[in-house]
Amino acid sequence: MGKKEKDIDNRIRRMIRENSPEPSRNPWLERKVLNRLPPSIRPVFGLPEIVGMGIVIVAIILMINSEIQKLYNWDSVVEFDYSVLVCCLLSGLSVATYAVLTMLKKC
Amino acid sequence: MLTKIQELALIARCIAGDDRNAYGHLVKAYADDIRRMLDRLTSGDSALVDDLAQETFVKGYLSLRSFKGVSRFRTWLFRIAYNEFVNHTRCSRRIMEVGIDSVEQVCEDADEDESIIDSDMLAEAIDKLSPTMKAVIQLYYYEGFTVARISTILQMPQGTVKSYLHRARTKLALTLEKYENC
Repeated sequence: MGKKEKDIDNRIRRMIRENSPEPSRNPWLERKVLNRLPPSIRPVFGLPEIVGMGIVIVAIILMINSEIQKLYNWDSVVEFDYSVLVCCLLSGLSVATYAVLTMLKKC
Repeated sequence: MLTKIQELALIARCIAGDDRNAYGHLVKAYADDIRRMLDRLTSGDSALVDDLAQETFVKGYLSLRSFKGVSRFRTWLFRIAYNEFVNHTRCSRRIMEVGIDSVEQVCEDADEDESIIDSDMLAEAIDKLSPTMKAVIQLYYYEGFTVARISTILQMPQGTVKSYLHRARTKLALTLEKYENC
């Protein structure tokens, strides 16, 4: 763009800006827009819940695996403990119950 | 005006966590700009400006996932606003495709002895232009967008935008001369 054109542009810009009144502000626009948005979709589980449940499930799997290994290993079969499996089962049931109830509540 | 990083951070919060507060900040930041452009396009119809502005921001929220972040969010919003205006005029009334020659006509109708052009006459002259021409003038001279950004907003080739600007510049030069002489 040439210098002359730039000069004309700057002058036109000044003329338009000086003679263009600002429209009146609408303080309610933000509220009206947010009210018109669809209902909020939140995930059923937050990140802390997912991490917590994941840790519990991995721990249960490792513990069950360790007990089963003891059962099949003749050297350490005496160390096998049913109570560990029961605890794992109860923990797993607790996690599953919590997850199901949370999903039902959110629905 | 928000920086690009601030915009992207707010948009990420909206998309990831449906954060309405974050979108409220975006609305607050750009409401005045969008309303100003719609005000020029609708010749000051404040009720229509508010309706179209609301539609713009609602549609902006619903299509946030399609925003790629290549252009500024402000540019993207202007594009939605312009499309909303065009859709509205297609539905509700005929578009008066008056050329920019009407600017000269208004000038000629002015008092010949004084050769004065005042703000009302300038506003009236620009009001008579086609919506596309008004949009180009508003976006280039008032909002300060580049030709490339305007072509993105109006969805037309850059050559067409330059052509509109050239015609506007040529004809408005006459108006400018009378304005600066008063």
